[in-house]
Amino acid sequence: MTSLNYSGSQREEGVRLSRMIILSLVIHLALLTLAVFWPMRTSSPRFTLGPVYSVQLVNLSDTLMSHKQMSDPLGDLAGPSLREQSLVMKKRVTTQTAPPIRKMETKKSLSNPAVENLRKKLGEKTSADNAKAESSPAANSAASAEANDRLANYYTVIWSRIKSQWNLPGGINPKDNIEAIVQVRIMQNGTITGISFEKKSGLAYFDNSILRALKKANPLPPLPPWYRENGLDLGIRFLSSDLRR
Amino acid sequence: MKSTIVSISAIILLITFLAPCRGAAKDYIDIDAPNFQKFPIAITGFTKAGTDSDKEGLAAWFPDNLSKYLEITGYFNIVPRKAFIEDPARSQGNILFSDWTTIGADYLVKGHFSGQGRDLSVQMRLYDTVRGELMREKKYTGKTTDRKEMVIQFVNEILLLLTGERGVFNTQIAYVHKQGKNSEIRAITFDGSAQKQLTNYRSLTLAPRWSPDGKWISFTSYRDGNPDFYITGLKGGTGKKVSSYPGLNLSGAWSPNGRKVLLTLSKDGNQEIYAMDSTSGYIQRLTYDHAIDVSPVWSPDGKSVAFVSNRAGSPQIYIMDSDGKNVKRLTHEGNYNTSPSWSPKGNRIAYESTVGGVFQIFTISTDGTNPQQLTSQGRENKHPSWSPDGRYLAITSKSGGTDRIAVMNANGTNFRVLCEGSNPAWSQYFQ
Repeated sequence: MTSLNYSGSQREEGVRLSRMIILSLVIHLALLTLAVFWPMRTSSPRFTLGPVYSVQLVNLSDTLMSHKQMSDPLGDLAGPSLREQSLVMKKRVTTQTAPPIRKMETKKSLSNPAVENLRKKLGEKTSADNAKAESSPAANSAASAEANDRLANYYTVIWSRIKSQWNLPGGINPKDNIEAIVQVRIMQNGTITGISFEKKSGLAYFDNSILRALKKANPLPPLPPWYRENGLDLGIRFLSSDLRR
Repeated sequence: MKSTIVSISAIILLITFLAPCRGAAKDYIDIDAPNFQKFPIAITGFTKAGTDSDKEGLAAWFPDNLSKYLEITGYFNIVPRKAFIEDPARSQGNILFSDWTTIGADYLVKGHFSGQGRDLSVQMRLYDTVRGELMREKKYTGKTTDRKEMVIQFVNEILLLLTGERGVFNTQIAYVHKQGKNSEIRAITFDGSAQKQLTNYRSLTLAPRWSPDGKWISFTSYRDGNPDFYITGLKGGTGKKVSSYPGLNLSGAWSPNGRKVLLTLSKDGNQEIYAMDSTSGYIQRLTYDHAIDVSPVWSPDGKSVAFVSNRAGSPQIYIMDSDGKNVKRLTHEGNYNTSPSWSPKGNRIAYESTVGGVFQIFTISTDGTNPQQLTSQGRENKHPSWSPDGRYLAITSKSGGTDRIAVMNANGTNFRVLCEGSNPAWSQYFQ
């Protein structure tokens, strides 16, 4: 009997243990789900392999650059330590040859400044996300939009930095509309790592010019302090549509 | 129960593995075009092996000539030697790339040579200072008289690496050289270093055109009174009269395969375009119009012909099939568009057009869109002819009453005068 009683209490304890394990797993699952999905809602999660959206940044207009807030974007983002670099960048821009007529015409025709363009697209994207995530609180959507806005500012700065370092003589390309896409990871301190081609242009010298531009632009300004991820994965599309005048 | 635990565990694991996928979501930014900037390159003095004195000054001759040939391509800015901060004592034989990037030299050429008597051995290296790596190393051996060829070969290596194509140093430009009331055909190299007279007819001789293999040149001459059509070999000889119909026998372009030559003949009343078999001399009439049809050129694929006609009231450029069918007007802007030249890449046609009464050079897409003016006023520019790589144009540039042959990059930059003359025709590559 003793043995039977013992085996019976053992079975009860076994069932209890199983229940506890299940309870523990459910709690873990709930906590893990929260941990996984909560920050994703605030940072616009995208479970896609391809681009979610592509933004077309145009040259910063003079008016935009003369705006006080944008006059020293690197300083705002990176603090005084990077101001010297930003000055170097400006110096290089001033030594470049004047843009061709066609390029100037493009500037005229594109009246929307780069940031506004980007913000608009990001705004559209945020709205779409919010529509899908019906359960997300309004406060989160506002936070998400603000986050994307701030990331847009960062994109504007690194776009300007990389573009200023991408040089090729005019008139050497054999055809119009050459395109190469590069994947990079920007670390918290702004260092570019993991450069790889998602799409090569088919012209070795063109692809090399891109690698050189990234090398010269490295390191980029640090990621914004509020950006909680370890690094930022970014695709950069290099186009030569108006390279050949 | 066990299966439930396993399932839940599997879900947790799945979620755990999915979590890093957040990193795969990326934004994309577009960088629409690079800055139009020439390659900044520094070329150091060459070092010499041994203790013999450098009697011919080759240590400076090599960098000087590398600079010269790189510069005339229009794609390089040579960093002046005054700006160099490299200190051999500090670098101790190594290259401190930061010494070069600091002064804005993205590329660096270094060289070393050794010689005994007339023998010469030269080693040249191209470095990418930004990425800190050797891009190309070449060693050339020969006689001291071969040194120019060594320089050109290394410049071609640099061009191939940085621009995807070699240079056009082994090409020539034929042109009309005026001598009093007469004119003769001459040819000059791309760098302007050598000229050669190809005819000696002591009469008005004009409109030179190269055969695709570069062995023959056709032209029109008044040697026997009538403007007849001739072909001569480059290796010498007096040339052969090929067409002498009454009236005008004006030389046009050779077909890409060299089997046909386009001509403008006025034997039937007004100027019409014909294609002549270069072997048999058989002619086929391509245009039938009461207006003047002149200046025919082939498309690079030999399927079409561009020409000038005033059938719409003013001289304009037209395109037709190689058999004369499907004539389409190409130019609509400007009231005087002449001298078409079809780009070797096939996508654009260069021509001359009047701007304020002065001829300037334009290019236009072969579908008639996107006309672009390449030269500006201040001098008259006419007769465009493409280089075989499609990166340059030779033109006649007139200022102060004198016609000169000039070359420029196909986007209108890097204008460079070669010599006095007019009506340039750029050859294919010579072997």
